[in-house]
Amino acid sequence: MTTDDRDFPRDDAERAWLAALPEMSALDPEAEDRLVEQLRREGWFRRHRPAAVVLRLAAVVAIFVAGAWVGSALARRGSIEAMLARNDLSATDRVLLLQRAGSVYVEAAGRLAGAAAQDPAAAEVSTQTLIGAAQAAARAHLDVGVSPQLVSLLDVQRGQNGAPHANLIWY
Amino acid sequence: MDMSASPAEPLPDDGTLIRQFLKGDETAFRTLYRRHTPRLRMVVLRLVGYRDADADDVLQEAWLAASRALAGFRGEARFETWLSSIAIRTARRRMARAFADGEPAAGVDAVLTRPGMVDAAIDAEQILQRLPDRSRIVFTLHYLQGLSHDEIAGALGIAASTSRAILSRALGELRARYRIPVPDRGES
Repeated sequence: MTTDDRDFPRDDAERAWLAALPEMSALDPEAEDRLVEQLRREGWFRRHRPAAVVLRLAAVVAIFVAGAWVGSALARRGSIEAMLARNDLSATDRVLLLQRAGSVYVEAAGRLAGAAAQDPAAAEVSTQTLIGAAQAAARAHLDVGVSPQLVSLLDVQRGQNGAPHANLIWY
Repeated sequence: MDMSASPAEPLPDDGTLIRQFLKGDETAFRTLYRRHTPRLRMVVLRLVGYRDADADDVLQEAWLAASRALAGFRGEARFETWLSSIAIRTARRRMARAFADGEPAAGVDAVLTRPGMVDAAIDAEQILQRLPDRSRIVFTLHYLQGLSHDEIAGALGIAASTSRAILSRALGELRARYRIPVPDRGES
């Protein structure tokens, strides 16, 4: 036979004894610190999470590098050299590419003239480039007979003084 | 670290502290720990035979387990109740040892060092301490923690009928052998 659970506490003495039992025990501050340290090692506290800081820095660097790489790739993809290497350009794109290349050529010639107007080597390079361009246009039948005449003229001029005709305008 | 708060700024409730802790706030965790551990430690001391080191090991394991499970705590039970259930589960292995070999409990004087602890409390605890381990454990879980016999059975790996029998025996021992005294109420 067992005592009924509800039989306790059954009188004032038992109630008083039950009430007198201590409800709390003193804490050991070192135990608290050990626990906090363990939780810190497991990464629970944000102020002490060097791994998270390193991860964030790595993410920032990765995003920067990726952005720089994408930007560089886009720039390379839009360069004249990259456009020339592509076979999928439409006729309109090829016309625009020729215009860009021509503009760059004129720009480069202008800068060369400003920097080395009296340099025979510069004059030779300019002439050869101009002849090469004219010949390429003639071979491709891109004009209506202007290019062959231009090539002949340039050859004559080069034979006379090694420099292109002063009045020739390519673009 | 000063954890005190002015009367005008009451400490946040458990739910707020739990959310702050889960966001990485160490102070919130310490507040939660200091709020609940003194009471929990007293319970655990009774369950592990008043062995200080065992009690602290259980509390450490229980708090770590609770922290790891805290994200899933839905607040369906009070946090204190939930935490106690984890501590009781954590203490299970040590309680099972008490059931197996009847290892004697340590003295209570050394562990009742809370400032202001009155003699009456120590005397009352010593009566509980003199009970055999299994009697004290079942008494603590049933009358002081409010667990049913089915819950005690689940926690200790025994039958519910065994829990009832142990509790009955515990009450008999308390009444017959130790004669629970009526505390002196200062009446002359």
